[in-house]
Amino acid sequence: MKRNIWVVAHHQITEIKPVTFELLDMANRLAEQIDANVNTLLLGTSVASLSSQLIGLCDHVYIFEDPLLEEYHYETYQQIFIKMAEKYRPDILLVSSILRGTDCFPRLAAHFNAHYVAGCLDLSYDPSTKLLTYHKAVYEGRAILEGTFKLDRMAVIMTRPHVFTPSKEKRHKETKVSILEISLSPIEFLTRRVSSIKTVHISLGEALVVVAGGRGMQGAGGFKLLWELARRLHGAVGATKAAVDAGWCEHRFQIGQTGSLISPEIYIACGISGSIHHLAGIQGAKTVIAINEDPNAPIFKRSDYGIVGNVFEVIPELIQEIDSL
Amino acid sequence: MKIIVCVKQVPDVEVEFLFKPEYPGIDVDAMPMIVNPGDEVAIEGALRLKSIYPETEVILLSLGPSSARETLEYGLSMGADEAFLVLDSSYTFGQPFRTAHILSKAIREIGFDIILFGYRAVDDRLHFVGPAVAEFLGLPHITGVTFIKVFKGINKCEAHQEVPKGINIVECPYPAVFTVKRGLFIPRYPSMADRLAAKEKGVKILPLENYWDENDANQYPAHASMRFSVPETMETERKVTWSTTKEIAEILSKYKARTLDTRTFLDQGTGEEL
Repeated sequence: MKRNIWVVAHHQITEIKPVTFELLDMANRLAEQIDANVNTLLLGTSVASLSSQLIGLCDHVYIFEDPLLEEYHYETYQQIFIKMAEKYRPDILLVSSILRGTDCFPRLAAHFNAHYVAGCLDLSYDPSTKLLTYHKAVYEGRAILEGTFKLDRMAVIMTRPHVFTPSKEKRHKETKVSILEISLSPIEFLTRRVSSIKTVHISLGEALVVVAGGRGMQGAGGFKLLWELARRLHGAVGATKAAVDAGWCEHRFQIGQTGSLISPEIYIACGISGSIHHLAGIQGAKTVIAINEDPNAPIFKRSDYGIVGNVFEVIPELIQEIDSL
Repeated sequence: MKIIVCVKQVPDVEVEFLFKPEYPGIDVDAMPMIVNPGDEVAIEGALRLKSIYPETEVILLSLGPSSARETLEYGLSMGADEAFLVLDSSYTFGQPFRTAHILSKAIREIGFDIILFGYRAVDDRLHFVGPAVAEFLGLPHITGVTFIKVFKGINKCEAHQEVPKGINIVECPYPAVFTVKRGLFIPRYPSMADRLAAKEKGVKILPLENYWDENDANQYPAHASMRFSVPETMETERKVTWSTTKEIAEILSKYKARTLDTRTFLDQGTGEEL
């Protein structure tokens, strides 16, 4: 019997987000190795029209619309995914970790005693051994774990964004679109959101450009410059542990060590010398640009482009150049 | 009020990293071990609650080999009241279901109002055991919180939950499970006197067989193999092209901000376990 791979679509307003195409590319390659159908799940209040953007990219699009989805709530997600899994029996559920849900999916895996992988960097299947292989960063990015397991039960897999190619190659002649046939029972929510404070437009994991600062930024004032630059590049700001420990930037912007491991297209290291711990956090970065006063700073050995100079002169100049383009 | 903080002993990868390709990926015996930094934050969170509600008991719970006793002693020296270690001489990397199963049973036995976990462990970076314990115990959970307030009379907690684009203020009844992020909880540093006093307090040992039967393993998923490598990109150097700001600006120009969609909503719920 054919197996089933399910991809959870990530969307915003009228657009399917690129990370969904990354997941679909991964799912399609895996489906060839496993002999599986690729299904995409579109969840939201009114998402049916978005399905046209998925034609040719999977076997089946399932739509689930409910006013409850106006607001993300893990208890709603929990119920939807439990019912979906009971009815449709997915073998693999692929979710990007930038999708809401690091509170929902581990719990879902626990509910079903399913395999659970977080921060997945790639997936492959060997038909001869019948083993699924994944890679993920462990020990704060200092090592990569290659884990294998049998598909003897559902696998819930959360992937790191920007690690697969967001391909839109139409591999499927036909894509069916249907309604996900489950019905939600009224939920008595235990957790309830009272209010929200929005602080940034784009998050560290999602941003294609990350502008990060280290000790060389000399203070919270220096970080204002980084926010200025990031804003112009539709990017996010990150920081080294040293800068966070000094109180110049909040801990949630920390990269490496106890912070995030990121894979942006462009990483701009400002006043960062490049400790091994920090480098472990940015190893997924595609292009690295470094600005540092010291030409012998280790960061330059890991950079594609470098500017030797004082960050307080170079960054304002760079901002001016970008504005004039 | 009883707060249980689950703590894990992990290798201190900041001090040195002794890699080996076989399970568990490091030379465990030679590496310095510490309390998982995220769990230290959770202990701090519990102690802050204790400072507001002095009748609170802060209880630490860990699963691990006898060396994990030091981890718990450290937590006691920070100010925790009691510490339990489910003694398990086999290393548990890569067996999160087993850990969640054992902790859930021990937690039930100890009794609790609030259960805290660190946001994630530096070794497996999974963020699984906290939500899994909540599932096994049938409790609500809130992940990635940087602040917790308890309203005792009305049996309610309020937490600040860090989400990729900001903060949600979320409430729930307790008992409940929280995974804690650093935010305002900067872990205190115990004095030498505190460290000595902690040794006096002592760690209570719980026998593994009370919480785990080898047959329990059958219901849970298992790896077929685990191998480790050093990431290639850690070892490869890049060739730097020395550039001017103008050249860099040109490279960056394609990322120049589009008009930001003002309708972008706050991504609610946590994302990005990166």
